[in-house]
Amino acid sequence: MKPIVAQDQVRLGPGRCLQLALSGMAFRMFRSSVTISILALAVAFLVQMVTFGILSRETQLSAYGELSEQRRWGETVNRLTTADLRAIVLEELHRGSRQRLREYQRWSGLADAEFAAARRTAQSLNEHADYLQSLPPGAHAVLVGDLTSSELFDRLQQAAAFEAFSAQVANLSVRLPAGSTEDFGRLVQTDRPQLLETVDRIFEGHEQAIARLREIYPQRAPLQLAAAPPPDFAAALRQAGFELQDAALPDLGRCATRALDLERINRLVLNANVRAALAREADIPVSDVSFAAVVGYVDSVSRAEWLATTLRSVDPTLALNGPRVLELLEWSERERQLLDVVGEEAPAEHAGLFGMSARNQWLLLLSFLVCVVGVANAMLMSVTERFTEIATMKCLGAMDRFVMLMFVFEAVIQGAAGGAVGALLGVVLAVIRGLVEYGTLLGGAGTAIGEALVGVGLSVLVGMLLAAVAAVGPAWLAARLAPMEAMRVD
Amino acid sequence: MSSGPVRPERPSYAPPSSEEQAVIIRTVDLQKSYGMGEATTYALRGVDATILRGEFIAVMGPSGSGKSTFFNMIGALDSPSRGRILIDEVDVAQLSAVELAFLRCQKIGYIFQSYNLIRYMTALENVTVPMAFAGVPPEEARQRGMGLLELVGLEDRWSHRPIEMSGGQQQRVAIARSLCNQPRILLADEPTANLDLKTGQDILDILRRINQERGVTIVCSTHDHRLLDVCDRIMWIRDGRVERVERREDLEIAVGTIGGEA
Repeated sequence: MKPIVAQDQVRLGPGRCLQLALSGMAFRMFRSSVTISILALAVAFLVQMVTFGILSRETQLSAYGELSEQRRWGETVNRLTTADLRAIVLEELHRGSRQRLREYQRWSGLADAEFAAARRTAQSLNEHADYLQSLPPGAHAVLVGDLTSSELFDRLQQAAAFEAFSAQVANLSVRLPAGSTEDFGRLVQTDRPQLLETVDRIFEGHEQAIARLREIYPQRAPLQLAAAPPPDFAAALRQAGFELQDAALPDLGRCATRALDLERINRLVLNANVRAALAREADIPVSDVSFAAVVGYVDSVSRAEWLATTLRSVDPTLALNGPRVLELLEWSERERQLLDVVGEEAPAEHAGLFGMSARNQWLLLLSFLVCVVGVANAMLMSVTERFTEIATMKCLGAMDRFVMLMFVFEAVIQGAAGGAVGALLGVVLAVIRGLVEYGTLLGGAGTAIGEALVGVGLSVLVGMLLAAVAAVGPAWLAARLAPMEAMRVD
Repeated sequence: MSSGPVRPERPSYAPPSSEEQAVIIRTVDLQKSYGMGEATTYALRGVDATILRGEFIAVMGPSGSGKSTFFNMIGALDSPSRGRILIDEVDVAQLSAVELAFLRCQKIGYIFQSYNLIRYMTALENVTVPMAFAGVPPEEARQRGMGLLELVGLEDRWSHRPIEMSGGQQQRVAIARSLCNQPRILLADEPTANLDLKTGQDILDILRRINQERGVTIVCSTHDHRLLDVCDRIMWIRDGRVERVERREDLEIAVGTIGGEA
């Protein structure tokens, strides 16, 4: 009999390990499906947040885009009657459109070089204003206090106040964007008054342009002019001092016409006879009759025809037919919905990760941690249930790494399955939530699909990684500690 | 981790003489304690044991005497706090994890009280697992596996899973499994404890046959007195120490049977 000579054990390849893992899972189908469900839920949650964030952002952007167009044309018509406020002039000098800037330059009467200098001053002032307002609280309290930026600049025009200011700046080691306090002084005390003069001239120029337009078309309001532009309207505008391309006239006309027609309908709805008729037809009390009620009631062409006829009975000059009335009312409703979606401010282009606000990102992180714990628990349970099995394997000659690999394989497969199911679930949930929140406005450019896919792919990957990492720890420990457990001699 | 074969050690006291049967397992002042300070439990308090090659030795003792700890030690499943275990004059503590795995796979066979079969594998697959770990090609492993199942009388149940078999059948599969890499040593932890009298008897017959036909050293822990009848020596352990070692010839054991047993 030969003595025992220890030599290296044969190492089994991962293929065999995978085989064992798969057959083990097949047997423990129920247990596996529990783990897969947990993973699926975790991934579904992540995917839902990411997808909904993207959907939300895209919907808001496209809604904002739609509204912008209308707002822009509305603003154009407004400017034909009211001069831009000085604050707006300053803002536009700083970052206005080319068309606007051309108008301003004309009205200011400045040459190119001087106008460019004025713009630079405006930009520099804006930069300083932003900087000063975003100082840390201590410095902010000393330097700015509770003044607005323009109030502050007004104050700093006086020499004594400026001396005190620059002394404080030096004390607090604040670095101004201009570089030195001398440069800033020049900006505030020399350049700014010049700029304000320019702004005044622009304002006056605008008012003169408005006056000239009124001379050309004495009896007609600009909104009506825009809705039904006379020939040479564009030329007339340019003569008055405004900049408007010929190609823009049709769009302008469309928006102006729509605004005018809606205004008329609004006015006519207030008429007592119309209200009585509406109340009878819609079977609601007269006091409930409003524009909103009308929009709600008129939902088909036949009703729109009826409304058109009723309105015409009061105002025969109204040239609207049924389909047009319906179109206007639907558009009005859509505008209201868009405003709901967009809210007060313009949505930021790339608001955070996958379109989520800071708060939602924080929420995502926390939920991710919860999922980690949940999955780790599932994996731990899975491993401890099979402690004896691991011990037996080791007694039969398996090595620690083999045992651990078996569990990791199982975890990765479960992670992939759970991830796939979870991703699907998450996308469905996000779409449902989007439909509930945004209704038919839901949508966005197809360009977001790529980002959404990346988000979903990442989430599935995260699920798999989560499962694998959660399984490694317990599996490794079990592999190392287990063998003794197999032998439980009384 | 050491590479290549480990050099066998010369024990510090008298080498085995040619007249004596060779020693296959030797423990030197084996101690194991758990815990620290005042709460220390001493499972083994210095066990010097020798197990001879080819013998059938039973280990007996009351519960809490350190029997299972002793078994874990000599089966290379646990490491002592002090002392050495020499399997064929090779110090187990000096072996790397890989070498230990080899030892467990190919030199020592394990039979557990609760069978410890892998539930999602058939009987044949259970028997062939250690051969897979030993690198035996699948076809040869299957053939050897079937041969072993025949040896224990279960060749027609090769495709059944443990859940479809009785306790005795599972234990027989476990025995077949433990033999598949032709081990030198079989460690049996209460092999008949969960079985009825008749089945237990079958198991004992198989074990005795293995011991006599193949010369495999069998170390059994047991309460079953019928097993004492078939063994060569009996080691009594009490309070973490070897109380006495007796030879079978020196004992008087009368084992009766119950009539009318199926």
